[in-house]
Formats: sequence, C-alpha cells, structure tokens
Amino acid sequence: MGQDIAVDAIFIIALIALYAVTHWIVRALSRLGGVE
Amino acid sequence: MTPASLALCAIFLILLLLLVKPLGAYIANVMEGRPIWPLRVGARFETFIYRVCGIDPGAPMGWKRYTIALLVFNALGALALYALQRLQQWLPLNPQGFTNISSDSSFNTAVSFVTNTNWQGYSGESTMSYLTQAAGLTVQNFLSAATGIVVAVALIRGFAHHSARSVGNFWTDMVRVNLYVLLPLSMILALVLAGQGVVQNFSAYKDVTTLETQKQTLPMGPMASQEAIKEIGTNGGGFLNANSAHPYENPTPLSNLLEILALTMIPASLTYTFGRMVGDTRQGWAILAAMVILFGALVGIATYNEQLGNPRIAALGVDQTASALQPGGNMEGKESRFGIGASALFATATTGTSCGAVNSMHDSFTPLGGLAPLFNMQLGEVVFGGTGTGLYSMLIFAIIGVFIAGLMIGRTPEYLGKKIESFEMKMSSIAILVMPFIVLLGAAVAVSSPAGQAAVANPGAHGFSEILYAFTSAGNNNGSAFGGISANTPFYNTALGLVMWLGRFWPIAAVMAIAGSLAAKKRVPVTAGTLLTHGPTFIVLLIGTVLLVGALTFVPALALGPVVEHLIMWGA
Repeated sequence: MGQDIAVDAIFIIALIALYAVTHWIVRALSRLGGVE
Repeated sequence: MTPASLALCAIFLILLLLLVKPLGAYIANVMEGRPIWPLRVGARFETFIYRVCGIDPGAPMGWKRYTIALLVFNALGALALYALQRLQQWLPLNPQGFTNISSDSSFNTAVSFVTNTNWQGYSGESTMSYLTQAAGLTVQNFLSAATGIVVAVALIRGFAHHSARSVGNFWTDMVRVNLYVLLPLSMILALVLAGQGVVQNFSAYKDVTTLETQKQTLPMGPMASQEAIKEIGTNGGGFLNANSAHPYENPTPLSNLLEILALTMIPASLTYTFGRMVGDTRQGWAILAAMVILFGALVGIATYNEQLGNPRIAALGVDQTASALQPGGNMEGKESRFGIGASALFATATTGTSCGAVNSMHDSFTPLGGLAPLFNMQLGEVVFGGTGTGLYSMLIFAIIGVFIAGLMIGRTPEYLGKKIESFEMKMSSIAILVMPFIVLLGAAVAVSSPAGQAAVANPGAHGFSEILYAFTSAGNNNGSAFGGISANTPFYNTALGLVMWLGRFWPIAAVMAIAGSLAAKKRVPVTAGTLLTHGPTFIVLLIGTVLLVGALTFVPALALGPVVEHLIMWGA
C-alpha cells in the first residue's frame, strides 16, 4: 500500500512537472517574441 | 487496385468533399459567434455554463493567457483521469468488478487521452469500468478534440485579425466547440451506429454457449456513444481491444464508411472554416487540395501493395489474385467484411488524421503497405490531420513554404498579408522539429535498452518497424499501434506517455506564439511581388515542403525497417 502511494506520487509529480515545464516554455517564448 | 477499391475511395472522397463547405461554414459561424439557430437555441444553456464556471465570455485573451488556460485545463484533466483509473474499483458503474489500473498504465492512459492520442496499452473490455470509459475516456475524447480545434481557430484569428492583442477566449471557444459541434455530431453518429448494430447499454457482460458448446463472454457497454466521438474527435481509443475491427464497434461496410467519413470530416472541413474566417475561401481550398493529393497518393500506395500480396505465400501455390470469389492480395489481419480496399482506406485515413482507430492490424500489412500509414504519421499528420491539429500543422508548413519561396525570389515572405519574419520562422521550426526529435530519440532509446527490446516479439527489421511505429504514433498523438510489441510495461507506458505530452503541447505552445505574433501585425497590401497562395504553384510548393521535411527526417529510419523488410521479402 505504502509503495503504491509512493509510485502514485511519482506519476502525479511527473504530470505536474510536464505541465510546469510546458508553462515555463510558453513564458520563455513570450519573452522571445515580445508579444503577450 | 481493384475497381471496387477505386470506387470506394472515389465515393469516400466525393462524400467528404460534399461535407466540407456546409460543415466548415457551420464551424466558422460557431467560432465567430454568429446568431445562427443552434447558438440562439443553446444561448441560455451556454450562459448558464459561463455563470456556473465564473467565465466572462467576452474577455479577450492574448496568446500567452490563452495557452496557459489551455495547459491548466488539460493538466487538470490528466490528473482527474489518472485518479479515476486508480480508484475505479471503489467507484460505481463497475459491474465486472475490475480492479484499479496500475499506476504506470494510468499515467500513460491519462496523458494519452488528454493529448488526443488514445494510445491504448491496455485491453478496454477487460480492465476499464463503465465509469472510467464514459466519464473519463469519453469525456477526454470531447475535450482533447476541442482543444485541437480551438488552437487552430486561434491561429486562424492570428491571420484574420490585425494590430490585435487577442486571439479569442479559450473558455468560450471550448464551450462552443463542444456544445455546438462535437456533441450534436456525436449524438447523430451514435444513433446511426447503434442502428447499424453497435452495442450501447450498461449491462453486465453476457455469458453465452457457442455452437461448439464452449462458454464465451460477450462484452457489453456504452460503445456507440464512445465510438462516435472516437471518430469525430479523431481520438481513436476503442472501447474494445480490437477497436474498429471488432463487429461490436464497426459491424457493417456502411458503418465502416461512416466511420472513415466521421474521422476525416472535421479536419477536412476546417480548411473551409479557415478560408471563411480569413475572408478568402480560395485559401482554404488550396490547403484542402494539397491534402487530397497527398491522401490519394498514400491510399494508392497502401492499397496497391496490399492487393499485390505476399510473394512467399504465392510461392507456396496460393492464388492471391482478386476474383468474384475472393478479395485476393494480403488478407492477413483484415476483416473479411471489409476486405483490402476498405482496410487500406481506413488505415490511411486514421494515420493521416490523428485518429488511430484501426479496422485491420497494421502489423500484418505488407512492408510497403505498412510504410504508407507509418509515413503518413511522420509527415506530421496533415492529411487531413487531427481535429484542428491537421489544419494548424499544415499552416505551419505553409509558413515554411512561403518563407522558402521568399528566399528563392529574394523578397520578404508574406502569407495572407502578414509578413513572415524571424520570430514566426523560429516558432515554426520548433513546431516542426519537436515531433521528429522525440520520435527518433524515443525509438533509439527503446531499441538500445533491454526494457525496450524485451517487449518486442518480432526481432529484426519488423521489430524495429514496430518500435518506430509506436513512438511515431505517440509523438504525433495518433494512437494506432502496429502491434507486435507488449507495450503495457512500465518502460513503454512511461516513455510513450512523456513523448505524447511533449508531442502535443510543445508544438501547441509554438503555434499559439505564432498566432499571437501574427494577430499583432499589420496587414500588408498585395503587390506584384506577392506569392499567390491559392493557386497551383502554392499547392505544389506546399506538398513539396511537407514531403521534403518528412522524407529528410524519416527516410533513414524507414530504410532500416519497412524498406529492408520489403527487400528481404521480395529478394528471397
């Protein structure tokens, strides 16, 4: 059970990290183009 | 190609082209919020949704705000779908008592359905509860399809607007696409498919005794409703493991034709939507012409090679010629009620769009017959492409095409009155290069790692094709499988999940950046030096750009897989 929760936590963090990195890329592209 | 195959292809293309103008005009009216009768009828409910969700429908959004709203929405969708799978054994609508899905498979499926890929490492009928299928997978079928359409519409607005900061409102666009386009079309198709015999119920699975006195369990469930949006939204994730090859999902030749039409109609129609919204429908027809020419070539390659058959089987004295009594050619992995023509047509349509539904096993196609769907995906799925993704990917190729043409004649490139400058070219390059990078890198890691190799049942060139196909399918958000590899492993679930996310949202970020940049630009007047983008020259230029980018990127990899296999098969 404890191991299951740990693995779930890893995948949930992975999903959030994928979102966060993509969000950061959007901000970086915005700075590159100068268009909000 | 047999006359029957040619006739089927011709009937399909005629019906599709007849749908393009009315459906494309309707989508344009919906997205522009014109007071057509469906919007007037649904206005109260639409307003109710905005009020409940706290949305200001008139609030303009710049491209960054629009994209971040899109990302947040999809990330929350992925988390919800992950939770639904991991908790399904304690939730209702689970008459078969299925246990929770494993964490790596839940991750893969959550990303898969949110990204419109619908890659399925699992077998739906033996793992997913009705609640997961209907409230999780089917809901994401709608939302992911709508996400693609709203990105395409935002890019169209970039071309259509000038000196503007807004590309629309993400929430309004999502509500309207779902409420007025996807839901009505899906309801109509679900009813028609149920009329053809597709199952639609919430009954427990039925145990029956066969004529051979064996016990067989027949799967039940809400299949017609999932089948409809599966095709219309170019999702492709089947209720059953055999997907549209299963008679419960696709029972008749008529249902087969309707499914092919359903999965191509929105992508093809969006070209007309594009023309309407930029004020020159000829622009949309030119894009559609390029798509139709590429489609015709690819379906021709697939059908010809499947009809040609397998020389090794011919050497055993098996007659593979088509006749009144048999379809001839390579029938391995194909349903006898569809035959070669309908299987090759479906395979080309499903891989040209980002659908990924299958009515035959692509793994059993001849090497060159299987190369056609594989290369179709590697072109970036622009023939006709996914819902929205096809149009915006093709417009990126158009931007690159006019840039190349501009370099050749020494003028500043323009497209639809917007100057194509350094920023647009950087973003277009990102949008084009993300996919091949993650596909080739993923395939390289898989073939060189024990975890990747362990899942392959067919060694050699065919095994390489299977791995390349899997990563191509994931990177392009297609979701069809070549088969042959056991992809429901922690390695493939995780690797393909990552590839699906990056292949979906990184190009979207670049496309949205282009939309914002174009919307802010002034429109330049047409001069004698402007390249006409609605004529045959532009169509040839566009086709050339698509083929050149696809060929230069993937031909070396294809040479190691299907081409080697073809040479071995015919050389022996």
